[in-house]
Amino acid sequence: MRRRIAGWLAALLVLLAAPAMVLLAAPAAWAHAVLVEAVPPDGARLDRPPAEVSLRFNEPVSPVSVRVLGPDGTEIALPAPPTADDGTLRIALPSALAAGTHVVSFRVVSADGHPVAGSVLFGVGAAPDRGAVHADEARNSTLLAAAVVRAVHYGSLLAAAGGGLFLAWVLGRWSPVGRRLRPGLCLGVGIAALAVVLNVGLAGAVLEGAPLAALAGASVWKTGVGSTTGLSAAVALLSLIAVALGLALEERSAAGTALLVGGAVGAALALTATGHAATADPRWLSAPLVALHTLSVAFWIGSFWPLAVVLRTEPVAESSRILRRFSGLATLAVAVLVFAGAGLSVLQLADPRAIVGTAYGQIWLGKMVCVLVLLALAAFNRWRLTPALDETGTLAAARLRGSVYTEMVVAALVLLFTAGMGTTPPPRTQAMSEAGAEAAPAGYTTVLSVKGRPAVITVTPARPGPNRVEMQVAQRDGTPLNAMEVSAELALPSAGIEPITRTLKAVGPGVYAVDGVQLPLPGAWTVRVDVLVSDFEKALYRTELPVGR
Amino acid sequence: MIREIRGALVAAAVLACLPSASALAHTTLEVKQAPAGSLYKAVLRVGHGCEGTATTTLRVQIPEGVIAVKPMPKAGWTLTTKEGQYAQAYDYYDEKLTKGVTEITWTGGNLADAHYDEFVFRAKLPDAKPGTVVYFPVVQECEKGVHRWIEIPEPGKTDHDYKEPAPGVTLTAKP
Repeated sequence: MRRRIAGWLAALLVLLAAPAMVLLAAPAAWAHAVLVEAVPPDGARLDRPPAEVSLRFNEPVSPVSVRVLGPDGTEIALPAPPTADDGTLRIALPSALAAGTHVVSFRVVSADGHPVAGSVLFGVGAAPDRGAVHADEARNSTLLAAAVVRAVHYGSLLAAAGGGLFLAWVLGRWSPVGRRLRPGLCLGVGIAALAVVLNVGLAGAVLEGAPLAALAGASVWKTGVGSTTGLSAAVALLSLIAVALGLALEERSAAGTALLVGGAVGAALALTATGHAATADPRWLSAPLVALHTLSVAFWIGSFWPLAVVLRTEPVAESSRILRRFSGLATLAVAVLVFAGAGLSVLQLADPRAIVGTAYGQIWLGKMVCVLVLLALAAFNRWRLTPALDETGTLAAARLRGSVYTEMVVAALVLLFTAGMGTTPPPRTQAMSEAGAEAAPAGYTTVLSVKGRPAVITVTPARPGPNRVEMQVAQRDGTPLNAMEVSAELALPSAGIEPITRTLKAVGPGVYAVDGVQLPLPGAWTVRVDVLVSDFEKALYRTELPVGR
Repeated sequence: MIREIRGALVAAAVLACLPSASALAHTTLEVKQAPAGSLYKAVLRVGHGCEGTATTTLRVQIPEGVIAVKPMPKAGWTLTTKEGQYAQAYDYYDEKLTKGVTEITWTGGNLADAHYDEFVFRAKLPDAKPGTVVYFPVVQECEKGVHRWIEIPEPGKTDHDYKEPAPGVTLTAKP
């Protein structure tokens, strides 16, 4: 009696600990982070070197690596490590920056465990030269290995958990088959644990963009543990321990069953701690859907090997009984699986066009094809081969076994596709980064200082056609300057175009703007803004304005 | 065809020969060089009005360092001056000057665009390094429009780089 209570308490603890860990560690709804704003803006031409670079993302991120390259291409040592403050990454720069193009190359990780990398250019004393940026080489070998290990991790974890579920629900206690299955299942738990650990290292390698050789060092492991993959791994290992305990106790008490079930639920929750699917908006919907989906997948694929063993070793009557029991439960599991999977697909893909248009959509399509094959096989097993067991006996058993092996192979393919989806950004985040890019219309901004008066001149969209010229000017002490008159003159000397002169109207304190300035041709325009500070004083700001196509 | 080309070439040559009309329209000082620390007679030459209309007011701002300013009255124009504190005390013969004229205004007159006139004042130039340029910002108000000759060239640039440069005098070495 006491052992029973202790057993139930233990199971309850495991059941509660896993979701508690996930919920406590996971704040509000997250998705793939995108860079929303950079100060100084990308491509800015500055007269004086900035004191810091501030990068604002649409959600909290943590920095993985930040490098600043000087005009000669060498890396500049930063006076202090970059700080992330709720979505804004601040990079302090050393005081004496040389004139020329500087590149700030950053790599941060967002909540769904994905690295976001990019670079921001600015020029001190000269317009920045875009040729200075070298594209970060995609470590294809690392990405491929990470996807494969992730697939193995999913498969082994879910098979180990599902095997436990098979023991608990299909076979019931005191079944002799259980004893035969146990060694194999324990081995499965061991392999799953190894895969969990390896996945952490590879996740760290992908985050750092490091080659596979970096797995020998400590930094990729530290990065992996620090990311959401680390949290997921901790929950997974906890669940595997529960499954192992359950396997050991199974025949002696109900606690064994509870541990097995608890372990399976924990494994499902481990996979909600990280990844795209579980971090899709709204999180209260996506996380439970992933948990349900994963749990039903675990039951299904975890049953393959035990079913094969049963069909091989048990007398036909016993196999028939077990398989009928399995079929009943499996139908329910498949229904939950399809329902949850459909919900998740809608959340991630939103637009049906994305299925063909994006890489994520194409991988999803591949997965769906395999899933349909799997469902067809399962249906065939359930409605044709299982009843045939009673009629033709060992022959049917052999055919069923063959079908189960085929299912195993197709399921492995499904897992590979799923791992591929996990390493590809889903369309909803791509839409966001596109929207982000559209929200900030292309334009040209430059920061100038004339006689100690700082000014920011912005021309949008800096393309042939109507443009808006905006000027923000301040006094020497930083307060907005209210000028008597502000006029701008835009000229394209190379094309011999008459300078276009416009008066800017005050639109705010120290802010002057004019719309509808027609720039007829692209090229290297020059802008001159005259700010009449007083009757006798005029501040002249001159800058180049590259007008693109 | 050749006749057209020839005509175009002649027109281009004629246009090229025309002196830059903008330079003539600038309000400039007659004497552009003077020894540092000397008593200087500043003659502002006004060759044009604004957009073809007559000049009605001329205002000159005296920069820091130029002291003991005395403007010359002009028939038909009302002469007023504005006094202000100097940033520091300057030695002027046996006196120490702490304040003086900081702005001169000739107003009420009518100088047609077709006519030329000069506006004169006397001042003691600062004792600065030879090569320093002392700029006098001038605001020329007309019947229609204003010309502000107040652009001070940045170091490394000359008057020719600007559309409305302030009249300036370059200091030379003391004799």
